[in-house]
Amino acid sequence: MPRKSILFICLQAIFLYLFFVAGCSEPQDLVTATHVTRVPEVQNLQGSVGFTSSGKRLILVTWLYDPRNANIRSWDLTRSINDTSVASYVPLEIIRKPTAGFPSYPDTSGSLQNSSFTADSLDVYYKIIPNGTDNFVGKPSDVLHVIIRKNQ
Amino acid sequence: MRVKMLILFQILLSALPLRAMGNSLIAQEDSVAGATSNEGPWTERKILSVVLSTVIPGAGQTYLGHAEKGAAFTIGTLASALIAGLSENNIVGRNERLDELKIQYSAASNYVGADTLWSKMVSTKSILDKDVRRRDLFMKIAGLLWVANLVDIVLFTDDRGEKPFGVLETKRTTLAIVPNPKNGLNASLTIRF
Repeated sequence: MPRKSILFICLQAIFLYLFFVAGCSEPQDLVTATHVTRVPEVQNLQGSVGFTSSGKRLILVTWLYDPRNANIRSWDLTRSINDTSVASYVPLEIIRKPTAGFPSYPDTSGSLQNSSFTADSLDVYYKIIPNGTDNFVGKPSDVLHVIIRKNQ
Repeated sequence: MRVKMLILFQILLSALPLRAMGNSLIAQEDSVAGATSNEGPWTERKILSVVLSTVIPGAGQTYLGHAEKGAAFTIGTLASALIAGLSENNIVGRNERLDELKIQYSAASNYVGADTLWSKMVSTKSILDKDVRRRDLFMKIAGLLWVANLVDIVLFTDDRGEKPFGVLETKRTTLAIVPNPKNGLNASLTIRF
């Protein structure tokens, strides 16, 4: 085989390698998912029904969070009554981070009292949204469903 | 810039065998004058066929008279290269999309928005990885076909003679216009492929 043909094939192979293989784009990697743990998640959301010393009905909402994650300023407590649609949740209170222990909220609003009942029972739904110190709005909690009865 | 340099390199590369061909023609004339020939199996046509196959896989086989084999190599290699090229184009587009999503993700101010962007990023990355695998696969196939084409033209393809591709024994196109005894003219056009 003539030497020039071999040389030509080699040069062409180098050209093809440079053009097709070395010229290819490298795929980009994903960034680390920071949004999941950026603000501590609301855990163990619970509600208990009771009465105040003055006889008003009270729903005490409590929840936990991971105190090792310091990026928490407050929680937005939202409530919906007899409606599970996302738009029906109304902001009820902004609860600041407690200096010690875990946060809680006693709900004694008038809509929970017997006088405002139109049926025998009332379905109350709560959802908590954490807010970080960096103003990042964290993952909303699961929905807490509390049923209260008229004569309870 | 790099692409321009590579194209320039390719043009220079293409000029090399033509110069070599010119030199070999001069050498051939000299050898004819001297009534001796030491070319062996490496005739001018064979060298040209190797050069053609190096640049366009299958072209050398077609030049030597193996049209079907040449067409198979050409179509196979070009189709593989085309699929690899389209996949590469998709990769470039998806990399840009991923860049945009990363910027939006880092600027997101709430979990819901960030989670939606994250889902889009994961989905885009998944498609991107598929494109990369497809591109690599078809680039390897194109490369293997190119090498196989060279091995074939060097070792296994004999010259079937100087019958130029596409020339038929009979006329390719005929046009006949014959007067119709009843009314007007009859025209017939025949094209042979």
